[in-house]
Amino acid sequence: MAISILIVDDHAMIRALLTRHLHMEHDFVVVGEAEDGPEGISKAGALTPDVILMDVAMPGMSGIEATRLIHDRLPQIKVLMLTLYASNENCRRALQSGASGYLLKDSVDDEVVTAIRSVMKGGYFFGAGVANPLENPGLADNG
Amino acid sequence: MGKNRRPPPVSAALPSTPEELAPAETSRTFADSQLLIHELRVSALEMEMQMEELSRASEERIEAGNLLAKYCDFCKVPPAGVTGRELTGRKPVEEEPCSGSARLRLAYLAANAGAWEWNVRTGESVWSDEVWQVYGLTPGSCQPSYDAWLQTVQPEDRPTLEQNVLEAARTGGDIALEWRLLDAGGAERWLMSRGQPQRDDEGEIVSYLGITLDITARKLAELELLRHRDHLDVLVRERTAELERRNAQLAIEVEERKRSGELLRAYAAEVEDLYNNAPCGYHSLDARGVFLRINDTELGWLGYRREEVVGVMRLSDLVTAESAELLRVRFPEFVARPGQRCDLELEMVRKDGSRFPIIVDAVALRDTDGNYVMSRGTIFDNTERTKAAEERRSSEKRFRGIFENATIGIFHTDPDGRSVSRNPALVRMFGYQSAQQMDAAGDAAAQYFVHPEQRDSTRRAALQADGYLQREVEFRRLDGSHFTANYSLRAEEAAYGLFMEGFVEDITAHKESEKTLKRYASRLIVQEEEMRKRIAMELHDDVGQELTALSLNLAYIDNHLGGPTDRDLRPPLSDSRLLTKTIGRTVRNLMADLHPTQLDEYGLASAIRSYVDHYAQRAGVAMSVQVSTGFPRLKPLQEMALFRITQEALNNSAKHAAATKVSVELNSDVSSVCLCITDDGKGFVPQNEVPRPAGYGWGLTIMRERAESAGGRFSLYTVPGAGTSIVVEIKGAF
Repeated sequence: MAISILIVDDHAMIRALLTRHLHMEHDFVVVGEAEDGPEGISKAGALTPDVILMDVAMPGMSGIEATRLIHDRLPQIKVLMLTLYASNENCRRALQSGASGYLLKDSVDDEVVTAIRSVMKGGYFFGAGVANPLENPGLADNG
Repeated sequence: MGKNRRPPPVSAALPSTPEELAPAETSRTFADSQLLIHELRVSALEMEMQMEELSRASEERIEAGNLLAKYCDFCKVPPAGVTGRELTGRKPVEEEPCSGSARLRLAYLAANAGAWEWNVRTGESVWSDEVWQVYGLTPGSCQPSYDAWLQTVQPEDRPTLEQNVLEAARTGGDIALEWRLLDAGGAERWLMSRGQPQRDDEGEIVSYLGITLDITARKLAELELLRHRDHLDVLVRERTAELERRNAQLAIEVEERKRSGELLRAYAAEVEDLYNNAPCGYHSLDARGVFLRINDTELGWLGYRREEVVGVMRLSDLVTAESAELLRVRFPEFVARPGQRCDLELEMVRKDGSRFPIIVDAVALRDTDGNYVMSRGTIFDNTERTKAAEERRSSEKRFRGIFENATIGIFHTDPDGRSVSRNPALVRMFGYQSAQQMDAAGDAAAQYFVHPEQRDSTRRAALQADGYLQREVEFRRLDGSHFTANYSLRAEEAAYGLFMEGFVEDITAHKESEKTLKRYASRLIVQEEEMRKRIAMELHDDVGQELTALSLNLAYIDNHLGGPTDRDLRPPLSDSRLLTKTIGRTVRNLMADLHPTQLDEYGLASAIRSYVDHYAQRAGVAMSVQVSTGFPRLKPLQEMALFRITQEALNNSAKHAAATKVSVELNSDVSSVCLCITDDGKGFVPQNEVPRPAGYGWGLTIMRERAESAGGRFSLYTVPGAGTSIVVEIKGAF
């Protein structure tokens, strides 16, 4: 059974290249793209994809905030965060928002397929260079 | 002890001449020794004379006995006193051989001797009357015989006598005996016998014919002689030991005298050396001013030889004309008046004509009548002092020039602030036209000594300060306007008492410039942050996305390479993908350093925590973050300032302090927030004490500026070897 994917990123080129990259997997289907958080929320509701690849840093609403809103309404959708910032705090907050994984964009070519399959099995995925907040409770923010 | 055994001459062990000895004690000891020697010699002579007399008496007695024996032998008659019976079987020469002639009896009597004959075959004897007398027996009181004779002998002498007699009889030799007996009065007497063997026709010994003499006198003389000799020996030994002791003592004293003499000579040489090579000159002048003595130091200064000066030149010959004139007046007074001391500053002239200033300090030596004998003068080269005085005058002139022309105000006051002197710059600084006007303004003069209310505390501080007390002070001018000044004050103890010296430097313009600079610095910081943020965003939006696109493209190409010719493309493609990731990480770190996006999104605590996490991994140093509950969001400028200070501090701890642990604390209360960064590194001496350590200088300055631009107060606590703490506190609005 195919895995439906929604890509939310403010960079069109990234969306296009990710789509092409995911099409190399026969069971992956990119069902839609969104260029910001609100559009991502809207399409998530309309398309109910299995997985959303969500950019963290976008103009206006951040990817984490969009994730929180999507997860509140559609908790079955797995959200994988994509970012250029290897921030533990971002990662922690993304998890708190309902994300299932956190990838750095410079490793997305190697890791995104594995990450999608991992979260589809119900697990979490943290890319290279990202500390797993679940394994490092000391990283939790108490402030 | 015979005549040739005199004690060794004591004079051989004594010093050869009395002059070698020390004057008093040594002479006395020497005289004692000589007297002792003389006494010893007299005693020895007396004893020798007594001994000779005794010997002579004894020898005469023996000689008489011998003569008697010889006479008897010559006459072939038995000794006088023998009863005339035939004992030996030989024919008697006379019918009564022992009755002898009157002359022979006289000889017996003279020698205190008697004759006897002993028949060796029968043991019977014939004794003359003298023999009976000598033996202390009454004639006819017993049967004369060998045994009767032996009974008269002292028991302890008997074995020896018997042995001698038997030996003589066995060998046919003469009998020669000496023995003792006790007479009827119990006195011990010494007897001597000489006997010759009488033989029959066959040559066999029939009897012995002999005489017996009483040699008690001789024996006593001999004993007396021996006693005298022993006594003399003891005396000689005692006197010799005494002499040796005194001689050794004398030798020690002589050696000590010799050493004392050497020491005295050494001291004299030392005194002479001190005189000649003293650091000052010495000379003595007679009443005319002619040199009697002069030391090498002064001669060296002058360039003359001693013979050119002593007894030849006057002091006035060696000084300038002005000094000579001074001497002409002062020296006669010095010579004439007892108690007068000569203390003059003169100028001497060297042999080469050059001059040098001196100070001469002289006293006069006078005889018991107070008449001048000579002077004793000490001369000091006054060149350095004169030069120092000139330099002091020059320094004072220079100081006066600086004082009058300086652009900073300079003043001197008494400890109560009353003006002693003030320079024109100070007068102008306070808005007065002249020093007089300033002084006339009453307490205005004291104003520059600081405000009256602070005067006591300032004075105490200045008195306790090591060097100048330095403060920044706000002053009021004559027209009521104010100015800020760097104010330096110190207390100085002078010959005339304590005074205060101060400097006032108007830094109003400097302070204004400083404020302007701080404003510029704040603006620069803001602009820098804006610039950093813009660059970071551009990196994110452009470079970062493009690198992601490049990664995806390279992955796509990699996935679609399949043909045989594509095989060669895989290695460079793989390298390119790797390179892209490396560039991506670099850009990511660069973005984080340029602008922490979390600071905008989540605030200071989150940004610092995230930064510390990453930096600890990069630097390999254990770092921790503690944030108090409810730590607030601050103004962007404040958050950025504290974040940048944290970055700089962590960098210093890891790179310069060699710290192994760093803690970051963020605390807040209702009115303030506080950032405290502490490491366990090597610490350093703060820059206001020594030049700043490498890497710390500008970093600390910028941290301080950032803190102040954010309205905070920056504090640094560090001790070499004990780590460093940086504390930034921001109070008030945030």
